[in-house]
Amino acid sequence: MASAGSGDEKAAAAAMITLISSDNEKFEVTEATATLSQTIRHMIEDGCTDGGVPLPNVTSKILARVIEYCKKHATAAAGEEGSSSSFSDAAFLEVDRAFLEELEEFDDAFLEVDRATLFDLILAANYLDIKGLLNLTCQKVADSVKGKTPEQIREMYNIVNDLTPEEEAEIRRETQWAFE
Amino acid sequence: MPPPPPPLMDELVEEFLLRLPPENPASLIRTSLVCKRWRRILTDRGFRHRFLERHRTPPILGFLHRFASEDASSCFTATSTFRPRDADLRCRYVLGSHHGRVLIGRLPLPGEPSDNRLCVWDPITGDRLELPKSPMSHDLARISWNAAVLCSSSSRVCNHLDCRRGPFLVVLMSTSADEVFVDIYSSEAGTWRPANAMQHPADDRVCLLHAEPSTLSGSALYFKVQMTMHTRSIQYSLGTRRIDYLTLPSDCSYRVQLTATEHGGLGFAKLEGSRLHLWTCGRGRMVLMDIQDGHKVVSFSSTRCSLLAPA
Repeated sequence: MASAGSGDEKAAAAAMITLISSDNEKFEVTEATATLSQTIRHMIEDGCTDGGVPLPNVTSKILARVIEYCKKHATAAAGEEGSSSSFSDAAFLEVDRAFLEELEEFDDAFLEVDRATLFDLILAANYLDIKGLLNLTCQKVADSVKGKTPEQIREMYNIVNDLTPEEEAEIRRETQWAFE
Repeated sequence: MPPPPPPLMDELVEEFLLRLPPENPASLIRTSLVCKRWRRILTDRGFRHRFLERHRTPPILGFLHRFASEDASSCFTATSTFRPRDADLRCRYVLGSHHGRVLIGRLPLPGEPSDNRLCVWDPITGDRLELPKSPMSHDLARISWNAAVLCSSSSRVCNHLDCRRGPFLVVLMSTSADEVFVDIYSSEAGTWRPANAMQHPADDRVCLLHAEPSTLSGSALYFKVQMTMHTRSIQYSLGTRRIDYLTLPSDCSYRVQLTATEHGGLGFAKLEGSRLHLWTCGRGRMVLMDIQDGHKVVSFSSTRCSLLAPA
């Protein structure tokens, strides 16, 4: 895809940043990928990235996934920018739609993880302040909960029921319609 | 077996709970029963406000009918999982609903004339507040009336997303042979007070159509009135307390439903066959805005339905 290519070229010309996971693994990423994280963006702006950016709250396993997400979304953003000047409106809309569809497919596949990984991704997205990733992962949890009974939700997320039987019975009595 | 998910801070639990679908309130209730912590987060006032801010347009939970159907004591037809509490309206009827509250009146019983006493019902908690006798009860000259309940703050001060438990007003409009009166009950004062009175237009009589609910749009309430020759809409401006008469589209004064427009003005809807005609009031005249397939717009098929504004 021509537009995606122009994004890659831009990315290649950009400065590289080293991210260091909690288990001391190093990841080289472009600045465009890294700055999807507002936390890292601020560090770059403050000039605190020489010698790598230590991320003591993120394991290498989760950081690799987060970088995968950021790479895809940074490329899509750059590709979209590049395409706007070189296509007619109709062609631009077509490319735009293709991008969005591809991004949606990527996001869907990206979320095919176990629940522990999903929660780890939420923690990382929050710590690194990546709004898109936080939204994506939180929506996935909300979607997984919405049709379920309290018992099913507790089992899914390993939560202990600390409501007393009396409290639970009273809530159920008051809002019986929600359990029918 | 996969490892258990790591614990999340309260603000991250809130992040995903905020994304539960508002159109299915049962999922919010069921989720609040998972554990004490989730319940505390979900029932927090700040959460409720952020949830409403996030989803903005509240979903339609169902429709209120003026009278309960013969085979059921409830006046509510659900379009979601939500069911109101204490919806038994035997000997009562629905006058209208705004900002999450429902105004109900009392039907006259054999051997016991109606005393026109009103009651404000919260369909979520089931709470009912009986209002003191209205000025209608003391003035036998008043021949027609209608009333509406609404939040006591104007739209400039309150976004009406979470004011269901706050102070409210009941606006009672009534007519005698010569005059139209506006009386207002304030929940904060706990009393009725006269707000305005105006002589009828010369050579005309005004009778409020009691069977039709009011419409609230912008900062004005609209009721339908029968004049000697025409059906019109009477407008009461909440800020200025002015009373004005508005002409209805000439070919649709019968079975027309007053509606609020997106821009805070007054509109009208009328179902003709299966076509829904929508007018808007602009520069002193009616403009036909849209004609839609009425089968898709069930809510307008009966003028006796009023929307339950969800809380």
